[in-house]
Amino acid sequence: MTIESLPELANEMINTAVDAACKRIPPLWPLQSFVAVNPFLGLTDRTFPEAARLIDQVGHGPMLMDAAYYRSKCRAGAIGEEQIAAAYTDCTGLAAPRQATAWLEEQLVRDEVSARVPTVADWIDHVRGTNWAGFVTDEISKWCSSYFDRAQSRWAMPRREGSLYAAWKHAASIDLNPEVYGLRGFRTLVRALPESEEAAIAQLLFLLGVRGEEAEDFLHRQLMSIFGWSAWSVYQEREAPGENVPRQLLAIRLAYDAALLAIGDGFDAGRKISAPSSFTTAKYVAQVAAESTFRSALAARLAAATAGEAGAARKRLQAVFCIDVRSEGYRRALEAQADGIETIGFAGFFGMALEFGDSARCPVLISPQQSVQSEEARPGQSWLSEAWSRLRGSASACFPAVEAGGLWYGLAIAKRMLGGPEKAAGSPALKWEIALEARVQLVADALRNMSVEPSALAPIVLICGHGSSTVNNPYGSSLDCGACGGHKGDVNARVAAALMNDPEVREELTRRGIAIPADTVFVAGLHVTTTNEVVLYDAGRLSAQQREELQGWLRGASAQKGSEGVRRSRDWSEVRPEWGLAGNAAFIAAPRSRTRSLDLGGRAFLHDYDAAADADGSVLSLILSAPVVVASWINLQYYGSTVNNQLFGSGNKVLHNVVGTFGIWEGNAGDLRTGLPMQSLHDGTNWVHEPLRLQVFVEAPRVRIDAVLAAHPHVRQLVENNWIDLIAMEGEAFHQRRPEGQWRRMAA
Amino acid sequence: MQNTATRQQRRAAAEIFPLLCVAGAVAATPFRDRLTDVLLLLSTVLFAVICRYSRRYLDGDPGQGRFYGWLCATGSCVFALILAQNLLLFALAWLATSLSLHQLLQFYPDRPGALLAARKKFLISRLGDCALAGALILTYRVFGTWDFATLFAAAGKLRAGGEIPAGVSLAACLLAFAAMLKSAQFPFHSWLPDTMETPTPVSALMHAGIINAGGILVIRLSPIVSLSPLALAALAAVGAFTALFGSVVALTQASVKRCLAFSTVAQMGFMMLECGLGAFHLALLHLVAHSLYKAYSFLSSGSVVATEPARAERAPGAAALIAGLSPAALVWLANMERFHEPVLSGIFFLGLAQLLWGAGRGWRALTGVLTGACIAVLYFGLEAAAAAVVAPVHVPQNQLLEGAILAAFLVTAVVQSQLPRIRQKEAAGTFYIHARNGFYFNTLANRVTMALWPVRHTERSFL
Repeated sequence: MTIESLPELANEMINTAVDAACKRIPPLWPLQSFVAVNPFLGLTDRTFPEAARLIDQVGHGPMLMDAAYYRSKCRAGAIGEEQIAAAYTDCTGLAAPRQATAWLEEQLVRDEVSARVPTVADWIDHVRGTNWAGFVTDEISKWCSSYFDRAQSRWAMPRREGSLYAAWKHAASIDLNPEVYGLRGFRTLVRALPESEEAAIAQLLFLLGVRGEEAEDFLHRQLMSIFGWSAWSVYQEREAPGENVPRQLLAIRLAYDAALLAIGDGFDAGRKISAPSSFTTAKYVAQVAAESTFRSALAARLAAATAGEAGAARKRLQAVFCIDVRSEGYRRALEAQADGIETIGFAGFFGMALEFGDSARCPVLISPQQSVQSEEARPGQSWLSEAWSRLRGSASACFPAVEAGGLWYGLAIAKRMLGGPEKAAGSPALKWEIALEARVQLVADALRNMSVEPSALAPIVLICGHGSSTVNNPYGSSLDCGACGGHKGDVNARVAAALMNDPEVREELTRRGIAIPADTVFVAGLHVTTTNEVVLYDAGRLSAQQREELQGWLRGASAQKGSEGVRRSRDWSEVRPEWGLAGNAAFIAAPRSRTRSLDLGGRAFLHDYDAAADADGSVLSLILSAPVVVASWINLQYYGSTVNNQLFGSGNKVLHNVVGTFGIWEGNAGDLRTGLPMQSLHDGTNWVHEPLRLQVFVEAPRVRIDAVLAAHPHVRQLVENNWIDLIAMEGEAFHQRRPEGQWRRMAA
Repeated sequence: MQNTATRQQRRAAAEIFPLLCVAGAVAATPFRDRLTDVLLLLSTVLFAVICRYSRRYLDGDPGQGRFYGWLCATGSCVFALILAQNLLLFALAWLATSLSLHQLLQFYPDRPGALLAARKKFLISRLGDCALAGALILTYRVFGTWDFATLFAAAGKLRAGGEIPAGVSLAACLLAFAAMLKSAQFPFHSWLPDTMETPTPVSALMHAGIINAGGILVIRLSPIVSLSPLALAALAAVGAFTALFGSVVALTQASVKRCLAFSTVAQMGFMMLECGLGAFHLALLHLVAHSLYKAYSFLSSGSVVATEPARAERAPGAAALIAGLSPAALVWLANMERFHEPVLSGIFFLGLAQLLWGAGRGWRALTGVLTGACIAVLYFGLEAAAAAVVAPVHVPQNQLLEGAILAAFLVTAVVQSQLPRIRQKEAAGTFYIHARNGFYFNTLANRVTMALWPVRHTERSFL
């Protein structure tokens, strides 16, 4: 059973299967920059129903809500009869039954059976009612957490400078825990493993009797059984390619299964466990019908929306906000403050792909182009806190240290209980060196992609990023700006405004025919989404009167949005500081006049887009290939966390245990958790987020959209495989793009 | 709607509950002493904080009302334990605290990990109860009373009189044993790090409050416990071992709550060591200071994400070690007469030495010295204050044990300082791997628990 004895062909097949299985896993970002990720990222090459069936088999969990949820939606009339009938026809290709709602309610209680792919641990647990699967997950979680630990433990794991597989192999060949728990001979097995993970995988698969076609799903199941760490290893690979971390993790997981073979009587890699299917046609029909109901209602409102005032007169204020759904409400409130205020929706990094410190401040789909530094050095630790941290971290000095210093924590508790304001983050001066040509290009591109007419810019243009303000919240960065790589948007907004104010840039732009009025001043701001306040930066260029006026409007808008958030942003016991992007369901790329009169309830990403000013379709191409994709990642993150929080979410916040300072365990141990906690989705009684796939409305001619889709296969895939729905708005005519490629007119 | 109203009433009850307790205590207890006052103040603050914290933290949880119910029950039991002036009442409060905490530990009964940890703790606690019951019987047979004042007066006479009856010695040993089980001493510690399957405020309550019950028992009954040199030596030896064991294991843990939990095990060990050395006043200081520190640490455990990555530390050379150790040792030796307890002061000065050898050279060394001096003033000031609450007891010196303890702390300090240098050595790596597993005591204890009181993996209770 050595690797040499395996035929060459088998090796090649194994490699293909391993790569394919690893590609099915999405990356997981650390808590410091918790970017929303589509949990089904590696599955978008198949249709949504196909992916759901696969997840049922290898993830052992649903990709739809449970039947009771859909039944209650039907009863509440939240899913229309017509929509159910249409969804039925779309999903099955058959004529709809006569009383569609009644049919659906009846069907929702029916079970279908699925064949689940087990690991050896799953198999034993299934047969004997034990918890080997949990034990294996805990063991892997133990060594992965120590290997990847950033700053928690003061004594680091040996050999973590080498590869994950090598460090684990060393540790596991000494670790007695599996044998103490009852897994005999584990160390012997580990010691005998080859040094390279590739050879180990081949050997272990041979032992497990996995060959041929079942290999890919079997390996996928292995990775899904430790989904969080798999996703983390994919992230590692994404950040520093070459190590093939997911493959190493796979080898580790297979080793435990191979050891379990000794007690896994009757295990056969080709044998499945039959279980009630989480994916039934009726549930999927209900899901599609719910989306269709939402889409029709929104389309009707958008079609009826009156065009706003003619845009000829120069505005008093133009404010550019992020497309984030939380901007929508604030924008409406700001526009209501005075005539002549216009707001614009644009990706919240404002086209500035920056590297700030050691973090990337741009969407994860692109890489940083420019580097920006803070002029202030990072504040060093004070001598007292340094001494305290040294004593506290010493295994022998921590005892008298606690006696001398512990009482002071009484004051710290008092301060937290009273909710005293946190130390203000401040706005350190920024510095950068960007060549004139690059600066001009950045500004020109940003203005064009914002769909604004440079010569008609208002005297004040607010470039407003967003960020949250919470304390004691491991998920703080999930509430920040995804377009800024899971950080607050202040740095990008400040750089954008500074470049747009730069006299050299303005002069060069004028020479190229992009004439910004001489009196236009750009100001950077940050919309604090927890408190709904806007903080201004570098506002010195405004006259005192302008500044006062601007601040008056902003205060007015904040007041309209309520102020309970101030308490929530400072309370260390708050598990729901804000609702983030819960409720998101639509993306609208259109001129603001299309949405200005509508209250969209914070459920829509709003991107300004003027097809008339985009003759070559390049702006549309950018919107569909970048912001729409990012929005779909967010939307599907919320979707996954809602429909299956066990697998794609991070569980109950009150049990959260930060691991390695970068991730979350729920409770004592278990898998690294991905996605969002329940408290971000559910208020304890009801779901606050309704899981609907993203409905993308674009105000552009269908041919133009088709051209963009043809040029961007991965976007087309999202549409044609039902991961998003795409609707073209042409005046009052709305057409939805069908998976087969044609457009279907939506009923008025 | 009615549900919400009930929940709000319970919440309101929970917020005024600690105040009511204190008001009741002040009115009803004619024989309060300073120890009671200090413990009462501490528990009131902790319960008030935890109740207030849980209001938002568990908001929306369908079990929030149940949670407050058991939280208040546990709180009442703790207050009764503190106010008890009678050994029987004390023991009943002790038992009731444990039983109501058990309900909080299995607050999420659908989590097998929560059930297993709760059952593990339940079994160990019952063993402790047996020890306490034995002590209760023996005490009554020897002294004919459970009243503290009478008991302590009799114990004082015994101490002056010389001959200690075997029953009293045995009772003292049983009390020490019960305290060790309650305060998670090695090898019965493993339930504590496994109780993270319950909401964070329960962890705070346990690590800052209930875990102290063992310390309270020994401090409260110090007139009796200190009659037995064997009980004291056991407390000192087990405590010192647990202290170093726990804090070494804590160094290797990668999750914040487990790190804090092993740190609690260690800190409780040190508190027991202090009791064993007769420094009951320092044990009280330790109890209070650690409670506040650990309550804060748990309640703010979500904040560790914001901290910066660890800086690479450099191991101090031999010269630096000596330069750090020698002034600390000199000051220690020069003041030997003034210390209540030379071992504990020795450990304190060893800490200062670490501050000095880690500080670096030049003006940084100077700040190290100044910081050390400030900490020393603070520490001895607090010690003096604590001695005004509980009197330290002078116990016969056991020089072999004390020397061994001091040596163990010294070796731990020096080895830890050299970790950056020796981390990659084979032996250090092997030691790390066993330490990362808590030397397998958790897994062993889990297997025993599963054998005695199995948790079915698929078991689902009423939630």
